Amino acid sequence: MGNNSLFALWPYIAVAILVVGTLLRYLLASQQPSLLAAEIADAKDAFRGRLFWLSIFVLVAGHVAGVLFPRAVLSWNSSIVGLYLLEGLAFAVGLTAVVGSASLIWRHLGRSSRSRVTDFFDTVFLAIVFTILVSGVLIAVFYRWGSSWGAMTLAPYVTSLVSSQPAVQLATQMPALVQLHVLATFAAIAVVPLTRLSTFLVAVVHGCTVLMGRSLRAIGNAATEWSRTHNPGSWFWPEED
Amino acid sequence: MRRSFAVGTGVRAGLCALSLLLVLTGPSRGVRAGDSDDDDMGLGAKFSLEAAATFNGRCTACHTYGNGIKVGPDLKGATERRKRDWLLKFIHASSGVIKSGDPTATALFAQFKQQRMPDWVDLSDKQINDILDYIAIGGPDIKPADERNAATATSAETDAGRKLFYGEIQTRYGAQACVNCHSVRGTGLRGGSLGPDLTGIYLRYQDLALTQFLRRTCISWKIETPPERYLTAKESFALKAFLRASAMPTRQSSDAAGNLPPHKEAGSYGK
Repeated sequence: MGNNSLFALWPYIAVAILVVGTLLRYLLASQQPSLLAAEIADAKDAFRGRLFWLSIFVLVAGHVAGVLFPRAVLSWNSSIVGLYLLEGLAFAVGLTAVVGSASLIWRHLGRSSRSRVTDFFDTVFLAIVFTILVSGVLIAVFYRWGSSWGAMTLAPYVTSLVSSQPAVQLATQMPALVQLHVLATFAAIAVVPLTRLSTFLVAVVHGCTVLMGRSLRAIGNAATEWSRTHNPGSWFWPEED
Repeated sequence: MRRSFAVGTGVRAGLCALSLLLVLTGPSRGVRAGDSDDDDMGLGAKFSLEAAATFNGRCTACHTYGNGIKVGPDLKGATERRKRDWLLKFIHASSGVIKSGDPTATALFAQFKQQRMPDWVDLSDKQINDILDYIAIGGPDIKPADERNAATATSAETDAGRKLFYGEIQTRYGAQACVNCHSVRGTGLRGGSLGPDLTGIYLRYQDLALTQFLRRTCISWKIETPPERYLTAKESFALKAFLRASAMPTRQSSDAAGNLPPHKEAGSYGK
């Protein structure tokens, strides 16, 4: 797979694996719903680390904001104080996430559990996340002001992926470290269904189906009630009234 | 189980953070340069780019500009030799003008071996007038503003280049400031390091090569925008002038950018 195909196809493959994998995990979990609560507790224990998740949340939110509002980011960065503030904050949060990720891996390696396969994929996922974080920090060091040039290059790349017209040149012209950062991010997305974290996604899917079921039931009940009071049959067969 | 379905406080916090970001950043407040219509060719010459393209596409097959007769007459000075009304009529429908017995048209018809010029009926009066304006002000002899040697830049032009480099004024087509990816001497930490340091780039590439370089996008800054809509010729020239000034060993001021005498004509940029 050439560099171009990699950036054109890998993101879609990763998202497809995430969606299909999560649905499969959901179908499997629905066979034994009683185990889900225990699996969630297990996942929480395996991936606990408030500071790590908080820093990950801030980083993801920042990246999403950069993709959604690149012009706003560039406008913010046009002020030197704004630029230093944003980059400084992002760098500090990135370092926190690296430390948190390293501590999570350390704890994970010393942990014994029931499933070796899940353990293996948890390790793979954590290693990928560590790679993403370290590459992100190194990008900040070696390729200054990623929030500015990222808004001009990587944000349109992600937007082009969403619009199914991948502008791969935006990613392929980047330095290897940036390419690694991007590809590893999609790799992490692809691995999620194989890890314990997928139980959270299963819970979300389950919640959605329950909510949908409730909504449909409520709509059905409302429709029945309405037909009982309005008797639409009389519109077609008035003589029966 | 149910607890995990509830919308977490984290999600709410995320939405708040995003809203805050939007409120804080707001719309861009940069000053837009080049809102005037003289963006592309500079040197005081204003003409429609479409007219130049039409001239190149339709006229140059049979006419030269200043290089003598080809199939038809040399068009240099045509607007001085003939009246505008006559030219309009002739370009629209030369056959009709010749048939009408117009002495100038019949003389030309005879002189040029009875080669009949196509009737450009699809061109509007405005389009033809634009082409005639283009011919009148120099036609293909007009050089784009960015081809001027950077040594001739005024201090205002060099300063405009500095502002464009730092993003203090926006480019006409929305190309992002060079400083996001590049540094030059004096930018300090403000300059990005994704792209190379541009301090010595003028000396390395010299004027002509740098002109060519600045005509291309160095990065696909906006997917839907064609590459030719990147920098206007004036912006390109201003940046070149700034890069020249940056390349000189001592930078006292923008017009003392080197050992070449600065031009002191009243140059203004943008507005």
